[in-house]
Amino acid sequence: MLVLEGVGHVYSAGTPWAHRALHDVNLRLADGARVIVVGPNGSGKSTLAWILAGLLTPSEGTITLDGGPLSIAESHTAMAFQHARLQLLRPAVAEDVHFGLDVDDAAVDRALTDVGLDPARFRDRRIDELSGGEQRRVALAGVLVRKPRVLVLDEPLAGLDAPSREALVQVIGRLPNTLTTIVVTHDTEDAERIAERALLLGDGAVTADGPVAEVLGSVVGG
Amino acid sequence: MSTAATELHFLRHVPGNSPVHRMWAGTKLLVVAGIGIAVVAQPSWLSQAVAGAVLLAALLVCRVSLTAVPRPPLWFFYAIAFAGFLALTAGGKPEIHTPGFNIGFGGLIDWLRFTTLTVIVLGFAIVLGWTTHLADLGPALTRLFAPFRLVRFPVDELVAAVTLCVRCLPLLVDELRTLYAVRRLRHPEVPTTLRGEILNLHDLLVGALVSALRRARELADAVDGRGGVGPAPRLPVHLGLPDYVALGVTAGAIALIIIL
Repeated sequence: MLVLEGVGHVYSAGTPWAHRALHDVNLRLADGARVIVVGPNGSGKSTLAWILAGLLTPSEGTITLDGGPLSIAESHTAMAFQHARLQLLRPAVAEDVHFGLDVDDAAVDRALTDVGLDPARFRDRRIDELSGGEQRRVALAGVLVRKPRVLVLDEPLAGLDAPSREALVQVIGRLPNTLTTIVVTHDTEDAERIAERALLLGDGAVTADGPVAEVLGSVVGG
Repeated sequence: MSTAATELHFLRHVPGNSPVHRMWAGTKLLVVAGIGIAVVAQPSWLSQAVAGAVLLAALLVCRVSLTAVPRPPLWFFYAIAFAGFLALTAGGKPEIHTPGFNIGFGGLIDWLRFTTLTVIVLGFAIVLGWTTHLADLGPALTRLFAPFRLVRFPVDELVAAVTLCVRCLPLLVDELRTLYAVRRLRHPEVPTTLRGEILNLHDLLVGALVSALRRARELADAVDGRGGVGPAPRLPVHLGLPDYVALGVTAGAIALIIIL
């Protein structure tokens, strides 16, 4: 269970540029929960994503996983960023998925298969020869191979053409049902296919939390 | 996890209405360039005292809270201290003689002088950043470089390059932040060997280079898409009392630095 209690964050606290991005967020996400986080620009989505991924210490409140601290060192969390190219740290696909891990080739092949890429075709491909959608899937394979418990996807569908988008939606839909998945996005078109719960953020606070159709319906309905 | 304590805010504007804020950006660039060049050309202690006094006056007049002062990470200070230690091993006069050994402080004093010089020059750049909107730098440079048009110097291109670089700085910082986050998530073990540290740095630098090249290509495409660089804007300049005072003080300070 991932629990956020009274989480808030102020960037550049104690400086003239102090800016509150998040306040009083309370959340309980059961193992395997699928949540989509939506909201306008500046509503605190990215800050929440970084906190959920363990990359940012909230200035207020606590975040725990099964009662203990959320730890990057123990690979509790993983995050796939919108700009996948920044996330690919090695020149070839298999080399990149391997990066920083002591896993065998079979595990790499499994991770590639999980994201819908044929290992025989993609294992030795160079990163810069891949399309945007393929780069995003390789980045996701590099994340999944670590077997995290919490996965944060930042704008996973932004800027993809229709086939790449459909492929990635299917990949997200097939993610292990024990993996807590949080998708931060502006794009709500396929929301119901990738999540069962939605959070709406506004001015740094959660303004709606519930089933996807209900929360997104309230946005559309004003 | 990251903390706010190590956030850097170099060249970030602090809103305000002090005389330094109201000055024309070109005046501030002239002050920084004039005193910076003079003190670097003649880095004596007395020159630095003059430049330091001007910096202190600027800091007092701009009325920016001390909380805006950049807080570099601890390793930065360790690195500077290590450089000081290396300088001490260089020896040189003055020396202290003891029955067991001699210590020469010449190297250490030179290190201290150049470290102070760096702090002063950076201090001027920081005050410029605090009190000037980055968008004001382009038009100011256009005015300052205008005389060079007479010798067919490509002023518009130069100003466009500087403006784009300055504009891209926040984007680059943002991408470096992402790269660092990616590195932490995918390779969370802290390197314990020198080789590990070098590989870590290598990954970050390669990622930063790829990112900067990609950004540069996108910018070039965007500039081409809008029909090229075009002439830099020539906005009217309104100098006020703070500008004249600053230019007078700068002229006096440069004269003192040369004389001393």
